[in-house]
Amino acid sequence: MSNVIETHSLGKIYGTEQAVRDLDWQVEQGTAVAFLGPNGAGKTTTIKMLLGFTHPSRGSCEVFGAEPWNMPPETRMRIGYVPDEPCLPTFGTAGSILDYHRTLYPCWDRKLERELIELFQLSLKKQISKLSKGQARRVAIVLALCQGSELLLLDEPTAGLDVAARRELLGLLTGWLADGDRSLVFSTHLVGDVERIATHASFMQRGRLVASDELEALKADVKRIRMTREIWDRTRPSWEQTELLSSEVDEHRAVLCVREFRTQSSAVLAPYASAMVESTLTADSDMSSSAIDQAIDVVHLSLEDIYLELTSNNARNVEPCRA
Amino acid sequence: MQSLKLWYALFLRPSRWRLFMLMGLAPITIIAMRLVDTNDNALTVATNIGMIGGALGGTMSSGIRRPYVEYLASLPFERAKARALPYEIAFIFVMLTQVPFFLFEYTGANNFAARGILAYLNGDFSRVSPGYLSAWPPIGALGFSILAFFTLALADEYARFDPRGPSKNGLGEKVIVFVVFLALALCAWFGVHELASELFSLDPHGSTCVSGLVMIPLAVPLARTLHKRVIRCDTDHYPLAVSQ
Repeated sequence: MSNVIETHSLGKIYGTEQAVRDLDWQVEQGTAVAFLGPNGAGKTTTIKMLLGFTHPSRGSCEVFGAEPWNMPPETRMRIGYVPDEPCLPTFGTAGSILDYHRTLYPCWDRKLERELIELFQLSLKKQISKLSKGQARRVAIVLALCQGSELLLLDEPTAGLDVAARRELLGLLTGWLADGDRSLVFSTHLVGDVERIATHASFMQRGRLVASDELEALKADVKRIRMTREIWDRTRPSWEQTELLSSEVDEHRAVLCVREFRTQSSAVLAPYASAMVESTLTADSDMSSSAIDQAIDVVHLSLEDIYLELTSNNARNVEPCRA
Repeated sequence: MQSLKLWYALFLRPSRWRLFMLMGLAPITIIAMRLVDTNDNALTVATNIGMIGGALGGTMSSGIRRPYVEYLASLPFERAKARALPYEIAFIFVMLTQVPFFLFEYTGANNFAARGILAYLNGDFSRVSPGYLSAWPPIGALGFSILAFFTLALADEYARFDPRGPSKNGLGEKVIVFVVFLALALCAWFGVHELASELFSLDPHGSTCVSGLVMIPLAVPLARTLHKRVIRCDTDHYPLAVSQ
């Protein structure tokens, strides 16, 4: 699979503030990537750079192999975009804007347009300025989906939508993704949305990409591990070779949150660090397996907990990791 | 063709009623001035007031608003085409608002309308104005400079299309640009007016029309040149993004 998006040491500075730092990120064709992070993490700025709305201060990015700042119209046609705040011309009616867009995109899908208008119950004769935020967002979504795009960039697409509309939209996007090798990148704060449609998740924090991986791999790799202080002291160097997201150690016990990596070289898949620690303890000490099991408690985190661990202020500043 | 579609959809269509109103501004001003002052020279002042109104209103009401810039940037247009838009839009609007003014002047419809109203009112409004004869070139130049100023302001809104990055110029620098434009415009306008008067033996009324026809279309390309050459650019900073 080829990459639809590639960034290389991408950075953006506003005055003295670094909004995005050294972003090395790839999005494969056919994937749905959730772009997660707290407010001000740099998600919207990254999306704006990918669309050529703002110039990168450092590094470069490519979408469909083209530099966004000078993207040819043919490439731009392949990208659908829904901003976080609807910016459609407020003077037009939904119908007139659809008419206008139809003339701009040769691959416009009339059938899908009719279906979506019915599904969203859009009032085509109403002026955009008179639509609610949710309705205006629906118009923007119809425009992005019907233009025949191969990549959708959605900036908080479900923000401002009621529960039913949110479900509707997520179902729609799932259907859209299933139809061919289409790719989706969407920023959101809602973890529920991510679990529903995303295949991959990328986490930003303070302008840095702190994690980017397949959703299932992330769920398998990020763990909370509790152990006695004695075991922590004996195995500490091993744990520090993992990505230690947070740790609380007192005189009795240690609670770690780690992101473990399976090191993949050739066809050999090495076991997780936690398993290696366990085998080390069994081999080097007189502890039985059951004693170790009692002393070390490994819990897999929910996506929401993973989000909090990766993006909290306590999280260790880590270098961008495998995509 | 795509540019035309874009103009129509984004700018002309939403602004068409305002545009029609502005097209009527110059004739209405002329009639109003004729009602209070029947001196022919006062007419030139009135037409220039109409022209300034047209220039100002035309540029300001062109439908360009900051959020549309992002919408525009997401459409499949070449960046160069989008970059030229503010100038083209300002130009088209100003020309459109000036057309009725020139038509009105040349056909004499202004006098006809004013006479009709005066006859209806049956009053004597023939107060002679004091020396309006040379008042119009400064007013024309002022209109010209205001037009250039607003064109620059529009160009700033569209700075994201500039490959060199957005402008760093603040209001103070724009005011300096405005003053420089005004000084240049004053000289040029007087020159064109005198030249037209000498070459074609025109009365002040006719010279107004000729100098207006020459000067007004020049404002937008001059502003564009100025923007290209003078405005400082900052590739790292864009106020729109900061505000978000």
